[in-house]
Amino acid sequence: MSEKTTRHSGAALLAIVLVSFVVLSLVSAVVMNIAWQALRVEAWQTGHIETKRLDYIARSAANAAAEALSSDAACFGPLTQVGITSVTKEIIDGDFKADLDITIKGNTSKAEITSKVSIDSGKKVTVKAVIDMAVSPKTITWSAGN
Amino acid sequence: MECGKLKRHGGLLIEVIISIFIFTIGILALTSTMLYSLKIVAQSRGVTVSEQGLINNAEIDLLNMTVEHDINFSPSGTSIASDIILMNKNDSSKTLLFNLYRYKLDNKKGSAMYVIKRRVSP
Repeated sequence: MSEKTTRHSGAALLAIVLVSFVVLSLVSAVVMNIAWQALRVEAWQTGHIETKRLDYIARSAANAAAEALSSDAACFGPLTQVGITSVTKEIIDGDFKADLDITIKGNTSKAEITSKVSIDSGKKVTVKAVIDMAVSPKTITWSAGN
Repeated sequence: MECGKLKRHGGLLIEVIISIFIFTIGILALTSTMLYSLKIVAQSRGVTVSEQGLINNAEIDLLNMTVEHDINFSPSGTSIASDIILMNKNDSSKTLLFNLYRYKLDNKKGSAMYVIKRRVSP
């Protein structure tokens, strides 16, 4: 009777420890999975927003140049296939710094504006706008360039 | 002999109580971690919604500028600089005047978006 009681007691203790271990492992796995997914989403969001930030600068800069060209085709000098190249403009605000370059190629009937924005990390965004100067009102075709 | 058996039974009860106590501490620690995670996720949701609203504002302004080409259009962002771009490396008189607008959430670092708008007067 005494031996039987001892064996039974050991099994109960072992079962409690094992079940506890399994439950704790499962709960830990769930918590770690949630944290990992949250980190992944955050990393994706940060990268995505940085690209969007550069894209807006590139698009709005190309649009500003397109507006100027629409009002006066020779406002930046005669349009040629060699192209007009801007001096690199630094866009600075606090810790943020980006370099903006604009190139304009073409002739009196069609002009292609290329706006490139880059940051120190190497990330860059290029936007192209082709203005058809021969039609009225002038039409602009937008595309993402490389 | 009877006394010895009773001692062993008491020992088992203490072992089980200690096991349950340790298990409870572990569960409480994990529960508080999960609650903290949920709180962070809820806060993150609020910031993401605000940030998306900000991006929408910048996008709408950019679309207005692209479609309307209205020089008098005033973007909803904050004007932070009036500057020029020297458009022709061979001719420094050829410039593009612009205002730089910023769209930013006050409570989140790195949320700023920038839009350039052409201006005609210095």
